[in-house]
Amino acid sequence: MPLLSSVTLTLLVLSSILLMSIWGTLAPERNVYYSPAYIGALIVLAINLLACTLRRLRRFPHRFQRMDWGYYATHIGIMTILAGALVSLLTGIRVTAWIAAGETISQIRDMHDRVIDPGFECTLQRFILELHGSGMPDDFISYVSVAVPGNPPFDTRITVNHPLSVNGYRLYQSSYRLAEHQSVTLGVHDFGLSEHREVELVTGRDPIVLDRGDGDLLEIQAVRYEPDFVMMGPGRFGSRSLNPRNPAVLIRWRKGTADPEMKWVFLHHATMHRDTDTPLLDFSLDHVDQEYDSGLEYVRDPGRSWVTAGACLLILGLFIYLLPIGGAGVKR
Amino acid sequence: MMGYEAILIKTALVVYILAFVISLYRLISRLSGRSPWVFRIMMSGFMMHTIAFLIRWKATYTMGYGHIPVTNRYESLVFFGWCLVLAWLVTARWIPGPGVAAGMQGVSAVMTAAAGLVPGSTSRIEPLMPALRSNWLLFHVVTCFLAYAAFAIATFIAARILFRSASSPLQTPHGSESREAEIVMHRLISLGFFLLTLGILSGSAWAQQSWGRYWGWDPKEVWSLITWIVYAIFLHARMSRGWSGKKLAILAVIGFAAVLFTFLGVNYLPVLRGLHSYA
Repeated sequence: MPLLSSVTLTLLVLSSILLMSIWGTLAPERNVYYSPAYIGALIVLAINLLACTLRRLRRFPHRFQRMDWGYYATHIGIMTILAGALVSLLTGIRVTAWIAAGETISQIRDMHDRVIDPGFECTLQRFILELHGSGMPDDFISYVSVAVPGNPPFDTRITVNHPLSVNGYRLYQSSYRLAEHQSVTLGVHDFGLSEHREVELVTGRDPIVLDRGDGDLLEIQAVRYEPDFVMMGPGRFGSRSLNPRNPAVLIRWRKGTADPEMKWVFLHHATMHRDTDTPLLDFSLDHVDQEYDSGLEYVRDPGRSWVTAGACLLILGLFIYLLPIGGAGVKR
Repeated sequence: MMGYEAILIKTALVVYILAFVISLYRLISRLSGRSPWVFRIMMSGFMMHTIAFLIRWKATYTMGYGHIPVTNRYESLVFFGWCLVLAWLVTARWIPGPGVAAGMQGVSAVMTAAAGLVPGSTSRIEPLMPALRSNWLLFHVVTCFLAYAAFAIATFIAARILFRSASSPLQTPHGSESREAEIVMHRLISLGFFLLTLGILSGSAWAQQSWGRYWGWDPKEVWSLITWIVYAIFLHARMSRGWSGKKLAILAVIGFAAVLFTFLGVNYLPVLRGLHSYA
């Protein structure tokens, strides 16, 4: 007990947590913060705080002073925060669920690929991304419909800083990404037939087939979409950002039984990329309605109220203990 | 940068440098006591700094963003300089000698000047990313920077204790001068520790509201925890183990090194970049 409640142990444990924390920031790949040594040091700190608090309590009621309240509140506050963090670590759930417009989520999978039933269904009606002129996101909003068994479904919205609480879970609007499948309108300029057609394509889906007459078929497929196209090196293409500054779609087409051909088609530079090898056929990207998947964070955090209570106690304790600037407990 | 704001900031900077030169002269000339003129000069610079800050704050509303201007590197450094001067003005009457004053004025001038000089610093007013649009922003940033300012003064007092420890301490009616300086240092660190705790906890509450977690082991979060632990060790060493003098002063200096690394170092080391790299 004397060792467990000694300030020397407190200083040793704090120093070891400090050194491991520094190591953790310099070597993030080591995952120091979830290592047995780090968690063990936090547990020893909690035990040490408990022992110190009990030792001090034994003096009660003979020398119980106002400052003691500060001492107890501070240390119990820290212990409560650590206990809350442990409860969250052991029993909490945190899952990022990607959802496309029109999709419904009724089950989620945690990091160990275990299926979890949150007890409600969430359907994404639509996702709105608002951008500033600079391209920085101004806001991103998921309009969802939520159905909890036994209750009428309801529509609501989830935005950054405004999570939705439902059935013991909180749903956070955490992120967004480009949807896997993008719908584009492709202009097909068939000079041989003096014809211009517009076709709707979805990236990554099966090709569509156009009849050019007399059994001459034209097969077109949208392979890939880039919102902010840039050449990243010889034969390497990508996007600078998710902002649709320079939308482009990679198409693959085949005339009859000829070998398939591929080319990038741009929204803003249609005439610059006319295919000189096949002068009777040209393509333009006429319209893109860029779609995003919404990243919703499903969080169940049983330690949350513990952490909140601990934080309040800690603030109160430090206020009582340290702020009477007369020098609380200072050995003169 | 808007015209008036730039002029006021630059004038305040010149005023801080002037006060620094006067304090340095007083230090070299071994003049003791406090100079009311240095205080007045610093107060005038602080008023210009404050008006410049308010002009910028109002401009964020004019541009349709409406947020306290502490959200990029330029604004953070200008605001840190402002907090340092505020902290010195409030505590000047308790701070011994011109050395600490010169140190604080020098750091205030460096921070204010650095706002326009450090790489990646821009004086443009920019919109906030969605997660930053929260009422926690003001509370979190103000408490952290005021804590840093209290730690800065404590560090200059610690430096004074370290430099004086070799020679015999001056005797005052209340005991040795070093003893008095140590008590002021302890009180400032107690105040700073309380404010830093508020800053860290408000940041955690904000993260909980934005991302559903209190703590994400972001490098800046971890370094703020490291700073908090160093000062926790300081308080335990003094209050429970009775540490004093040089040993305690060294701990205070280590604490402020952690503060500077949390504020600046984390932003400039690529391996440490995280959620806070905008500030």
